Amino acid sequence: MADVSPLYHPLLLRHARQPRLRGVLSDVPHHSHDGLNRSCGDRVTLHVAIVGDTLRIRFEGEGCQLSLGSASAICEAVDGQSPAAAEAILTSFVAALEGAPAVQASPSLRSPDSELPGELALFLAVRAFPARMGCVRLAPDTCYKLVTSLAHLEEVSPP
Amino acid sequence: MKTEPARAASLAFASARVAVVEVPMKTEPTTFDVEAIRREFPALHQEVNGKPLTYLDNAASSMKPQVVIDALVGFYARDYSNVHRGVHTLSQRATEAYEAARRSLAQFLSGPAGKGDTTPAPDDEVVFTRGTTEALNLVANAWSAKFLRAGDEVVLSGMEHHSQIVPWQMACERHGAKMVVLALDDRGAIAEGEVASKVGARTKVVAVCHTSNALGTVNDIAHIVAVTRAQAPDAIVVIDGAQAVPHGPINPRALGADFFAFSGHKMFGPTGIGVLWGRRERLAEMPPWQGGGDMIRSVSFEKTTYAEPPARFEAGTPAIGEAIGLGAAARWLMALDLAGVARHEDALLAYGHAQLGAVKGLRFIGSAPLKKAVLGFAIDGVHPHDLGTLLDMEGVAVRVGHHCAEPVMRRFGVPATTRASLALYSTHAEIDRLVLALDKALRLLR
Repeated sequence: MADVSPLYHPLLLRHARQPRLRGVLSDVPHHSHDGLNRSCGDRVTLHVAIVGDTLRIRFEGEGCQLSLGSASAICEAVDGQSPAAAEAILTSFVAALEGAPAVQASPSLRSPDSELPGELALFLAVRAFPARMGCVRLAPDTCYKLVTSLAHLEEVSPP
Repeated sequence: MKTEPARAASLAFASARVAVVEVPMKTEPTTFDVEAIRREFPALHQEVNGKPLTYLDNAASSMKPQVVIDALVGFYARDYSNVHRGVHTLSQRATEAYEAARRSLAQFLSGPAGKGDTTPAPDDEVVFTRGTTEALNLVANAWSAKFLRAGDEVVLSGMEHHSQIVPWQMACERHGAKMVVLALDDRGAIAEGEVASKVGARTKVVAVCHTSNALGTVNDIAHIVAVTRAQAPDAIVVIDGAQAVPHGPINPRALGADFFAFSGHKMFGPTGIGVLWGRRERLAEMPPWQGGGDMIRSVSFEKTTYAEPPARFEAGTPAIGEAIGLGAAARWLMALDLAGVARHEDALLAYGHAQLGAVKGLRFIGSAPLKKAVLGFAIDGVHPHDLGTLLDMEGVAVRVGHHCAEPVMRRFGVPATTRASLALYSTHAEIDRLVLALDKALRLLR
């Protein structure tokens, strides 16, 4: 039987409750992209600007603690990174989410989980709860689409 | 079924009105033995995540009694063949069982014995479909093709399921008709005066649910029909009965409806089967929707003539086993002590309102004076999805989300709700387990 407590780890709850990067980019031209979870109505909007060589990112949205927490953690992980580094982080996060749950008792097994920056690795607990995978993936999938299509998008000027 | 017959004295029990919450019923009624009923449902007796299953997702789908499972197994193990095709023995057996199921459904749709119009519904008013959704699509396509015109109005209530909204929206787009929506009041009932003011000369269709899946509201169909007949004599009344039929036999003819749609799987029958009931004269004037085998009288490359209803609307090999299973479910329901069922369900709903109402920050979504079996709620600062996972860890199955009724969610300003929905086999102990699991979840989430 899966243990639910890792899914509601205090660090994850902090992301959902006191997200540092929730908001809009009011001072720079940026790109925005909406992600919607059709089955439950969770919604996340990401705003990304390239300043110099690095990304600035903010999110807005409504949803469960996993979808909002994941949005916050993703934003913290890619904010200030180069677009290429951000893409690499998102790719490895999604790959880790799609992988089998790590074998906890075998530390010698090299796990990609440990290479994830920030608190992203904590979200891998969701692999034991497939029904909630869509919640955790909403932000990274939306962010990936945004970051990989930046070159083709029209910029939105701040209001 | 070994339930005692309904006793006259027992009819004086609590009504369905939720206003009685201050006096929750703690004791199980004696004429309806919920534990005996539960023994007929094998799936109820299991552990989920190490806890006894508390299945409170009945508005999504109900569990199956052994008689329904046996009907399916028996058909496939002994009598299986295609229907209406062959002269061989198995084909005759299958056809007879399939048509016997239709007769059982016609009887089910003739309402509880001794109440209202007891004229049995003719068998040929029962069209088998895949479920409510297909039944409503059938009417919205076939009836509209012949009768819906540009400028006509289709009236729906604000509490409709997507399966009623979307087919009619598509029909409106095809024919240039306009959709008119009956607004809801804050309790989740159709607001006072809405029907009278919005049904009029241009109305061609009034499409409403009997009972709301998201709110539990029971609509006053007789009133809606009366207003429609008076103000829009040419209009048809199409009832989504999916959430009404799990609570016992019903009589759409006595209600005054033209069409009445429901699914098998919510009334203890199999998935993939449902019914479109239609008045004989309405079905007769409606052109076919899907073409194929079994719905024709004769076919040539120059011209095809169509069979009479219900065959006209049953193109192709039907879900034979599922129909037979649904027939068994209908017969099983009809044999119950229905007054006892109603009393049990209503007492349980009142108990649920009282117990959940004591949870801090909980707001019911749907508190109409007349409602059935649905406890939908939102809790301040807590998202239903988080709750759903944590309740599941305690073996409690509820539905979280928009319940295929997004307009209802918008009306009440919530993205989603948590919904505990009851069936006749639900118990007071299950409500208690829900409340305990909720307390535990809220301690983690708040």
